[in-house]
Amino acid sequence: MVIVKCRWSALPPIAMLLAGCISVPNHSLTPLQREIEGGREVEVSVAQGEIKTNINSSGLAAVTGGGFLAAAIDASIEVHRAKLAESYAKPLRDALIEYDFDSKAQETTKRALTELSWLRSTDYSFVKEVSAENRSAKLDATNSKQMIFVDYEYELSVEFDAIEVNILVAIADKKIPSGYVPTGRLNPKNLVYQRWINVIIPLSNPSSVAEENVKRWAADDALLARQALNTSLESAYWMIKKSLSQFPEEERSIRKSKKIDLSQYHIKSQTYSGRVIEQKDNASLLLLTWPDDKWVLLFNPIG
Amino acid sequence: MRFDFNPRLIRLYICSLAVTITGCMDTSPLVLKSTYESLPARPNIDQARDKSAMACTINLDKLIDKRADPLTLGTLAGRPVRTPPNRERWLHQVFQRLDDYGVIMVGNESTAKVQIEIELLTAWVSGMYETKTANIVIRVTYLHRNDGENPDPKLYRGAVSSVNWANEDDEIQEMVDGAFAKIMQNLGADLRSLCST
Repeated sequence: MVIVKCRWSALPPIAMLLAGCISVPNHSLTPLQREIEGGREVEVSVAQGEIKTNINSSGLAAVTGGGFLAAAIDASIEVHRAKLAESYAKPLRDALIEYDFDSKAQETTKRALTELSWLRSTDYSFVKEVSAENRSAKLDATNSKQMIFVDYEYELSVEFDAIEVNILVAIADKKIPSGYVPTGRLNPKNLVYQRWINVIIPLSNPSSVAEENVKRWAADDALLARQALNTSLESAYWMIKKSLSQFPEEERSIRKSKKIDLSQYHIKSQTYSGRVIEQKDNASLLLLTWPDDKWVLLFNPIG
Repeated sequence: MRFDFNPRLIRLYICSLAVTITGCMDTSPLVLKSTYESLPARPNIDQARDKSAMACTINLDKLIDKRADPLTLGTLAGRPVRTPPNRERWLHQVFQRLDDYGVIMVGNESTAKVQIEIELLTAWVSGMYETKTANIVIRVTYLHRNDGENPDPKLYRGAVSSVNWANEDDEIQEMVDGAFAKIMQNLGADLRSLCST
């Protein structure tokens, strides 16, 4: 569960294939699972210092079947891309230097979880360093029978044509499942609950030049970027509540509904095709099951 | 016939073979060294050594670590990267090395041409695919100049992106030191310019 982003890892899609996409028992809590003695300790994380950049993988090794030379070329191409992305992001990062995402994420989480009285959230803590070992040690130390982990990530899309906020909400048992090492408590299939949430705010009429897009996000002391991040966090507040409140039958009903294709929004050449959970004036909340199983809140473009 | 292979390339090769089976990235926590090596981006050494001629004396009034969690730089490919145990001494030691960038750090305010305050705003590492990146940002406030007006506070950013060969101590340490070195290079140049006006 440690924040290996699903789309960066080959493992979750493979695991999903093996398990079957329809059977996702830990994406909702039954009435029995909601009740717990002594409450649940909460840990919030933002494992980054500033807004992240994204690059496309070179993928040469995958195409050519691997090997030393292909891996070396991949690495070289990706470093070049990373350096460019980092240099393009500089004006936006400088403009956001006083934007306290960490505090806002903590406040958002606390507001959402405390409103779900049955969750009995307690003892909130915040970390910047997320690892399986740290999490496992925290589970060892807690007096709660379960812990809630809420991990935030905020980033620019590859072409800088969208700002995305990713949230993972997970509940883990203190008790180690039999046959597992202590960090096995954080294995996705052993979690009591998990939900990936992805909020996407696209830039209107984006340029094909990333540098031009980032200038627009950064203009006027990052006015648009701040608006996007604030909107994302405000959305996180109600989505965390909504996702934790959802019963298994609601989850099943959504999974059986018809897919829609929001083809008017193309970000990073992706078309968002999924099942509608909720439609708002300025955004659509979809359940995407492929390649990752997650909720995606796709806003109308801004700016 | 003799072949010279870069050991890092060999490691990358071994990783590319082994990673699908076991993964070979080191994920044990790394505590950064408390000594700072400014060599990765060292500027014109002759100019830097000509300190006495320039007599650009700088007093560091305050060094404030404003990071949300001062104990860590985050996690790189699953490996926690942590600040040295004596964080304050480490940071002072880093900025004392402005000496290498053509200024003279002095302890006494009265002998300084320029007095500065440094806030460490962020220092973090991240990785994606085969890359690793370090970003460090400081804000420098010019508190006092013997002559002339103080410039506005200024942000200095040091960013280094490089191949993450094996997530090893040395390469991560070098990346973080390199990010500091970029800051020092730009800050040193601004301070020298201030001294000469």
